Amino acid sequence: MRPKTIANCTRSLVKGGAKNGIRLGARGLHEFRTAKISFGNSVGSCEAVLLPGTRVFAQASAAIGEPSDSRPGEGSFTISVWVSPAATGEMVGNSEKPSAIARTLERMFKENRAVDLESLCIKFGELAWILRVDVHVIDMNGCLQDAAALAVLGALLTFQRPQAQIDINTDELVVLPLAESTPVELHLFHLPAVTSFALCDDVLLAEPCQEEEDILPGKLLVGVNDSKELCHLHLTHPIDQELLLEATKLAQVQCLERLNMLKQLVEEVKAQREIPVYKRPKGPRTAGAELKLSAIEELSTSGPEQKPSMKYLSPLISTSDVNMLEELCIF
Amino acid sequence: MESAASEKHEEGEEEQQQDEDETPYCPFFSNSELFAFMTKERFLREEEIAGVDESSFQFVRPMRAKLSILENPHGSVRFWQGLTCVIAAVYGPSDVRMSKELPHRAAVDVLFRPKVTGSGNMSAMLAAGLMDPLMEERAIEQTVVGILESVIHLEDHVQAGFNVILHEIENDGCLVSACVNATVLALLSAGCSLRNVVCAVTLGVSGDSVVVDPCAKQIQDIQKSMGKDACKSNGLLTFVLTNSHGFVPQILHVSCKGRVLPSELKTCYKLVCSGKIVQEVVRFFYLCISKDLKYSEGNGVEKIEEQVEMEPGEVESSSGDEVDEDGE
Repeated sequence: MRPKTIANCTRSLVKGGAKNGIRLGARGLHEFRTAKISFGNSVGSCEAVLLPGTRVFAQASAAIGEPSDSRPGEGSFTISVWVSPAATGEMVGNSEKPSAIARTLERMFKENRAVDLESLCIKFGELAWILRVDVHVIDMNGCLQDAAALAVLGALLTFQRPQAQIDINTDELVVLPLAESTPVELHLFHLPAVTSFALCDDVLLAEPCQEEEDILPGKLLVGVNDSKELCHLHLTHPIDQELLLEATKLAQVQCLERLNMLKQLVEEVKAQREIPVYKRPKGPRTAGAELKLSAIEELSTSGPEQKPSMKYLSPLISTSDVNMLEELCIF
Repeated sequence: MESAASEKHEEGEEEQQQDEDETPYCPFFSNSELFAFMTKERFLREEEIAGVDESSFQFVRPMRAKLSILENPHGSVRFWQGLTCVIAAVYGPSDVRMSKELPHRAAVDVLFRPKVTGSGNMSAMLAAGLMDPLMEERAIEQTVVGILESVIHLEDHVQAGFNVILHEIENDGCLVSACVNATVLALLSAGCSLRNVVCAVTLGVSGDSVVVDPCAKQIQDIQKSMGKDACKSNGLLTFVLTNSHGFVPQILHVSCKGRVLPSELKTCYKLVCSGKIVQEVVRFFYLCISKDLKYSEGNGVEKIEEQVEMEPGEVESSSGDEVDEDGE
């Protein structure tokens, strides 16, 4: 599907509206979008939704491998971003968007050293955990970085890896399965979050939608962590100094609010995991029904059609062939 | 040259002036109308899970679905089969990439994306004795393409295409059948006309028992015993069936993993062809879609119920079953 074209009247509407303090979707200029965060059943899976219409799914995973030569005492951490065709409508990927998101995430989580990589080392220079977060952008309506950062943070906070250690006597690697030992959680030094603004002359529009992002000339990304420190800034349009300060103040409040919400949700998830299996409330059935082969014979005879005739199998096989086949394989 | 340049310059200035002169207000609406339009909240439907109670699923694991969860695609669904969860999105009929375009019919393009990618996962999978994950992904895509090509009215949309995107969210066994079911639901919610409604069921055969729609743990048990006893038959059978021809489902796709005796295959065939499993799943599809339509059109429900009486086959059987349930 071709990308949507934006009408000229929409352009003037958005630009002119911004000057007068009104914008698409009934939001105020400094009103942020509603975020919804949910966690999956498996460890380290998190989905962040920014209403309306931005949905990012992140899954953390870890494997044991060799640490890099330059940092032998640390594990490694990679973030891979994939913008799904479900979001863009084009089956052939465009590398612009994913690389922009990946750059923001790498800066916030890797270069700011949010994850404690030294705790991922198993044996100096030989064995370490390779941590990986897969980010899938499933639906897109602006503010991809904001949603992606939330999803990645949620995935990292709920991730658990099995215990792995070197046996002192045999010098072999022992990995205890998740179910048989206490799983290890990741250690994060600080929790970064990011919010974005669209810039139109001297106006800030908080968390723009896709149309606003396309129409308005500038974009500003402000990242703040849970100790109120500024940890990321990205600006694509010249703006006033005062405006930048205003934006950082707005971002600080918003990011802290989001982080508190996320922390609370993570606490809930962890509390649920603590409950032993036999004490958990019985949900819907999750296993398939088991039938005996003999029972199926009765079942099929009581069905509406007594014997499914062979003619539906294939028109090419004649009945004599089928009889022969049946004799051969005691069909 | 100079004059031309200066003209251009003037033109540029005029344009700039025009830009500046443009009032924020659109010429076609009055200010009050415009304000009403801009402040009108964008319609966003509350995500609703099509709730079908567990008791209506005798054989397969209870299914759940959220329809139209994505804004951009024509049809989309988040589909649960037990704990297995898949997101499917459909664009169709729409443009396809040039290389896939066909002169006589629509093309079908399917993309499956696992939640964990990369080499780390691959080596772990290979170490666990599983197949190459990349190959498995392509296999799922090809399975879905094959099924859709025989189900969609492709010859009606020349040079167009149906793009299907599948995301694995949770894997608790039977991913292939969940993908097929999710695709069909997404196609229905996109409003594509299908020859028949299709559903997929996986059966796990081990020894003298059959597990319908096994979860990951059950599959593991089956695979464990697969290696132990060479004489015992253990395997996974995936059937894809239609709901046409009265009550006898037609088979669109069968695949087998492991070893199964012909007699056991026949018994499984009998089980799926008795139509009970198909009815169960198709009735769920029907409920989901009717709920989806109810939201998108104001009073669409009455219209659908009128149609129910008109249409034979699948819809009749589903309504009949509901009556049966009430009786029970």
